Amino acid sequence: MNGRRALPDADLERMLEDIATRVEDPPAGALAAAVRARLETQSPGRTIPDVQHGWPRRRLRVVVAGVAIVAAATLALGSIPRVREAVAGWFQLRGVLIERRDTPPTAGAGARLSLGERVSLAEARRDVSFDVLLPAGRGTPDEVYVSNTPSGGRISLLYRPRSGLPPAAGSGVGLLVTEFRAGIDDRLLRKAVGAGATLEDVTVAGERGFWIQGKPHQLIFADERGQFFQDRARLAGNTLLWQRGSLTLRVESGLSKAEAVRIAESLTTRD
Amino acid sequence: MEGRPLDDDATLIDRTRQGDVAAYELLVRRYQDVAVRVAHVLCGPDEARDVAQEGFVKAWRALPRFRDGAPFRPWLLRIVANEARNTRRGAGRRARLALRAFEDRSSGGAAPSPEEAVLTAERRRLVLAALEDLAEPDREVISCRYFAGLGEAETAAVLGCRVGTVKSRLSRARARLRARLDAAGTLTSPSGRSVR
Repeated sequence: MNGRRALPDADLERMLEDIATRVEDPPAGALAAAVRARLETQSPGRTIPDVQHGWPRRRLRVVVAGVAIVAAATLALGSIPRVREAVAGWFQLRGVLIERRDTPPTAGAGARLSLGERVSLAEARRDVSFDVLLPAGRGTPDEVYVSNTPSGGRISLLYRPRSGLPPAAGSGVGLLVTEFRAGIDDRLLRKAVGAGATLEDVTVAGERGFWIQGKPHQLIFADERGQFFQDRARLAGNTLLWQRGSLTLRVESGLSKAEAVRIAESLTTRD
Repeated sequence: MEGRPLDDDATLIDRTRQGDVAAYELLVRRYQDVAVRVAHVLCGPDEARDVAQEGFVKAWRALPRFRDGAPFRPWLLRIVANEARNTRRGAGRRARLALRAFEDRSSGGAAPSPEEAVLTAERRRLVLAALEDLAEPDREVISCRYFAGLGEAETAAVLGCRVGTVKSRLSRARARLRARLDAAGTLTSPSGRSVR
């Protein structure tokens, strides 16, 4: 023996088994819910769909991004005590929850807003299950994003700041119009706004709506299937929120209430 | 076959094929831990959860091709393993295992002295480093068998080879790992007593 000898096989096995007991997996967490959220938009056995049959291949990445947001929302919700309590009773509801944060994360324009995948307006129109509405007289949006969350899709139209569109607090964008299928539960909305932001009833083209002003807040939604989602790390400035048919619409901007309502009422399916 | 329970795999698979997403969710819950573990040992902790999720979705899409009566778990884990390999290769790096820190008790129950603990932790790190250095087939078979705790048959299913191949590959992989550790003097104490 030269002071060292070969390691017996049994010792190596024990060492490997010992390591195995110390492997710490990332938590599976809400994996089942995340998988379910993805499956509910499809039917089993369907091969990866091509462009002719609905979702283009590019869509798959959107699906992943959407689920990541759902998962992040799950974690984030669990870590906000005030919200955690609300979620228990609210998870199955259709509705919107607004969470105000004291220390808002910095939110930026476009990609940093977690709006989904950047696409052309024409692509976005194909990707969502409703007719896209555009503010009249504002031209084509500078950036268009789609997300697969909630079901039916969500489109975000972003206009950069310009004359007549001052940068909004929080996001820094000139105008952000978001459209998706979901409902608004106004009792919950009122309860959740809390201090620092005000909620005001408004009328948008004869429909009830809400004007939220004050501290940046985070919007959390539940779609018609009870899946909830939020805009991760995204804080809204002055926000006009209203429903038009089965759609929830949101206008965020640095504009006054009257100007925001004017834009909201100008939304049209025509370019 | 006797009447099968309402929630056995075959029943849940049938229900899933009929469009019952909740049934598949039960299968996901049943196998999510082992799926994440397999993904973890094959592609590392950062991607493990996403890989497992992707694996479940792909398995669901492939369910019409699933052979009736076959065991679901190895079939699922193979899909997860393929996803993990693709992810790892796509990222151009090797899997690193995340180990629990500060939990360094021997199986005897007595806590080791701080010095022993450091040595042991250091040895574990060296074993993992040597393992990462092995060729991919060696690394995979050891990871599946030991770290994911899969049996030989399941390891074979996951890696897409025969059980006999698992046995021989495992034996060779262990020998190569041991040779690397011996060469580095990693696992033997100066007195010649091998140390766990």
